Amino acid sequence: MLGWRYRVMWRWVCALVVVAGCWSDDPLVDGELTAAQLAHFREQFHHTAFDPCALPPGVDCNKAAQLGQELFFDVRLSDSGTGSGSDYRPSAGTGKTSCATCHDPNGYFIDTRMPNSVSQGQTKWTRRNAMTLLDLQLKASLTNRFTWDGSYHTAGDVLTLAITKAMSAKTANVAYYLQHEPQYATLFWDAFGMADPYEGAKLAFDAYLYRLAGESPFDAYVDGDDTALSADAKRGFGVFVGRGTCVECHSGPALGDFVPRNTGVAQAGSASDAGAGSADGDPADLGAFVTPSLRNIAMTGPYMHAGQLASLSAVIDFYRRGGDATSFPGTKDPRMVALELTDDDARDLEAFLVSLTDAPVDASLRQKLCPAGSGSQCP
Amino acid sequence: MSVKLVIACLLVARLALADDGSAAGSDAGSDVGSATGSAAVEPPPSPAEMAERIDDQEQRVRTLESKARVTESFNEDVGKLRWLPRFLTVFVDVGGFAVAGDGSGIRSDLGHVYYPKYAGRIAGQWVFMGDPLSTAINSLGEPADASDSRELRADTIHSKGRPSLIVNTVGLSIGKYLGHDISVSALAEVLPRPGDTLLDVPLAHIDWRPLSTVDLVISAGKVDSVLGVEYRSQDAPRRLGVTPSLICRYTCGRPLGAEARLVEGRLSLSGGMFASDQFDQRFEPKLELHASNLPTVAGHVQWMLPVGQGLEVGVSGAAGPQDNQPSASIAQWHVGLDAQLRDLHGWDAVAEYVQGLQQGETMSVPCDLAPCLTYKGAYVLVDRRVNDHFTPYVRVDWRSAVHQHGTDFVYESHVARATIGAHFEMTNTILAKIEYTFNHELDGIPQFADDILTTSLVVATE
Ligand code: HEC
Ligand code: HEC
Repeated sequence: MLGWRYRVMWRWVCALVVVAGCWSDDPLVDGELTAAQLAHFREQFHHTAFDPCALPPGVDCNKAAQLGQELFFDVRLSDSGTGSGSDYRPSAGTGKTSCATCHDPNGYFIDTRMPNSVSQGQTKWTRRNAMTLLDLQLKASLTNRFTWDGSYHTAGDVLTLAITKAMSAKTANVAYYLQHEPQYATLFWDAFGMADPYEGAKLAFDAYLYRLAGESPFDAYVDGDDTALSADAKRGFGVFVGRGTCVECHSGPALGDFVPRNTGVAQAGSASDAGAGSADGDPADLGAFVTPSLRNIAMTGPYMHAGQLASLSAVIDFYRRGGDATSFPGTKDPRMVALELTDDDARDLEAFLVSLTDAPVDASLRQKLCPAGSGSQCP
Repeated sequence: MSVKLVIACLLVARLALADDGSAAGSDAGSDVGSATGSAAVEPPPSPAEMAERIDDQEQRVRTLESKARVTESFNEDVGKLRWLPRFLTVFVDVGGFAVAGDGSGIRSDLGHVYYPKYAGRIAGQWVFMGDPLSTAINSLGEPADASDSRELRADTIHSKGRPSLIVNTVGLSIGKYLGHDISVSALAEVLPRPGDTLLDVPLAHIDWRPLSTVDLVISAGKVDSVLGVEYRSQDAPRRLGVTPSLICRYTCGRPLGAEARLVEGRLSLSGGMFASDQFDQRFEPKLELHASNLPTVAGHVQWMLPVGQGLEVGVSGAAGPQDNQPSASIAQWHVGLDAQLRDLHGWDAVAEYVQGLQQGETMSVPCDLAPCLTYKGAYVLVDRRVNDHFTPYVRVDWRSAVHQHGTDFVYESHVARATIGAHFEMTNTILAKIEYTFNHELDGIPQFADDILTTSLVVATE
């Protein structure tokens, strides 16, 4: 028999339980994030609508994009030549390389020739890994750091690097063909009117490159479609923003904030590339490279500024061990520490990275345009 | 623990004393009784007989007097021994627990949603919200799961949120009086854990009682803390509930050092010099000896007020260089208030408040050279001894602390808890306890599932 004292006590117990009931728990979404955290990431990774005409006013962006696309496939831009200024004359038929050589439109705009360092072997211009040209409009809306060391400020600016180094040609080549190839001259006039040919060419490349964009399953997930990602990829997203700490640097709608950082990737071979440190002269940036976007990452290997890592799983292993221990200039970012990731985490993370792959851009943007009268350049 | 030992020894010694005393007393009594009894029935004696009897009686008195002297000196010896004869106690603490969520008391501030001030400095994953020890399931304070905690390296239980049975502790406490008012005692614990079986020697000290008239003990070795009162009943056989309060980690440590404890009437004083703070070392990342250049000094003053069987109120404090730091100029301090009420109409209560700081040191990122810690915390524990076997209790505790270390981690711990439990004393050697703890996150931290139901069955040899 319970005495009155017990009954009094139970009243307290009940009161406590009721109070405790008010302390309700905030359930986790997919076992990883609170609702507030998921909402935060959905906002962070959401990208603004794509604008097919992101050019200065007064420019006919369709004509400019068409011109850009034609130039992109034109190996004549790598012709060698003689003379300078308005006396410049290219030697016809010497050019072998176009932008498409190293930015293969059917290979997510990277250098698909294996190994990737072929671009170095054939052209002797850089020790660096060719970057994808997808989602450059998004990149341009977020940063002015182009190339691995961030020393070029627009996609079009890279034209100088491409022509003079990648293609071992002279920038005067571009102006020459814009003026002497009738089809280019017409397009140029329609797009820009009276303008400096080389500046116009930069804008033409921008106009074309900015159209190379797509949507990935991850974008659908970010926009609220919970079924767009597999369970593995969702868990991998949890790892990406959680235990993997990837989001500390690969943040924002591009999954990369384009800030130069030193992750401690061992240099390839005997090369020594100081990265942003040699570009901006800031010793703090020694060995730092621009944190790249991870959009389309599964399609754009090998990885890192010199293609040091062949596969995504090699990249994940690299981060699991906290980067390489030696053979890189400068000091590693303090956040590059060994991670406590399980093999399952690593697999899930890879599944997530795969979900960042855009549907291929429209075929009409991936091919050489052959309008009537384009002559020898079109088979 | 040493208090427990001393009390246990006192009891044993007192019993022994009582046995000896009553035996001696009844011996003497029966002797006297038989003498008077025979006198009553016999016829009046002759003078010669009288003289003989008087001689006889005198002889007896002498014998008794010498016996009494022997007893007295024996009692004196026992009195000296009383505080520590030889002893050996073994206890086993087994338990079962269930914890909500993943078993841990922390979550990461992914995306820097709740503490944006750490964005760009400490990875969101390593901005921990909640208290890593708030899901403690046993008297050692081990959490059901340490999750991704970076400070708490040993995830000893690692339940991942699954309910489980566990052998919490197999404890062996030993002590021996060595003569010359010196004794030694130690506590060794075997902790069978899923990964590894751990062996711990939380206590090992030499005690010296220099004065027979004053209750003063001087101890050296791995000794008990002097801060607050919870340390006195932290081991499973002595603890009323199953789990420690949220502040036990600051006051229940057993540092290396030398200390003195004095009880004089209503006043209790204790103090000492230690090689470290009085934090529970079980939860410190490095378990090696941490010698600082300067010792930490700590002390406690308590005064007993005549309420119930005694209301003790106390103040304690500690100050010294921060542990594990190269420079003694990196300071730490701790202050605490405590009150302990015994048996006011069957009610007992304990309340403590603590506050402290470990200064840390910064080179480029805050607290990168030495971790910084600020903490405040308190608890109130009330129990009611319903009968000899059943004691229900309620505890409310709270802790608010920030602990950060460069880019490695920061813990934003702001937690309040409420615990209800029952303590069953089945026999003097078997205890059973069950308790439920509601965890409530404060300071805008989201509420996550981390309530705990835990039990403990403690069996000890006498
Ligand atoms: C020989 C191979 C090669 C050729 C040909 C080439 N590129 Fe590149 N491209 C690269 C490499 C390698 C990089 C990375 C350069 C660096 O980081 O220094 C790059 C980077 C770029 C970037 C920067 C992308 C970013 O996200 O920052 C753009 C834009 C670009 N190329 C456009 C072009 C255009 C336009 C052409 C044709 C005019 C062209 N490339 C020709 C190899 C090439
Ligand atoms: C400290 C900042 C930082 C963190 C954290 C970080 N990254 Fe990176 N990541 C970079 C930088 C910088 C590069 C370029 C490094 C280079 O090439 O030298 C890079 C390159 C990469 C690349 C190759 C990109 C390419 O186009 O070749 C992948 C893939 C990648 N990171 C994935 C991850 C994943 C997955 C994580 C989490 C496990 C992660 N990163 C964490 C900064 C970071």
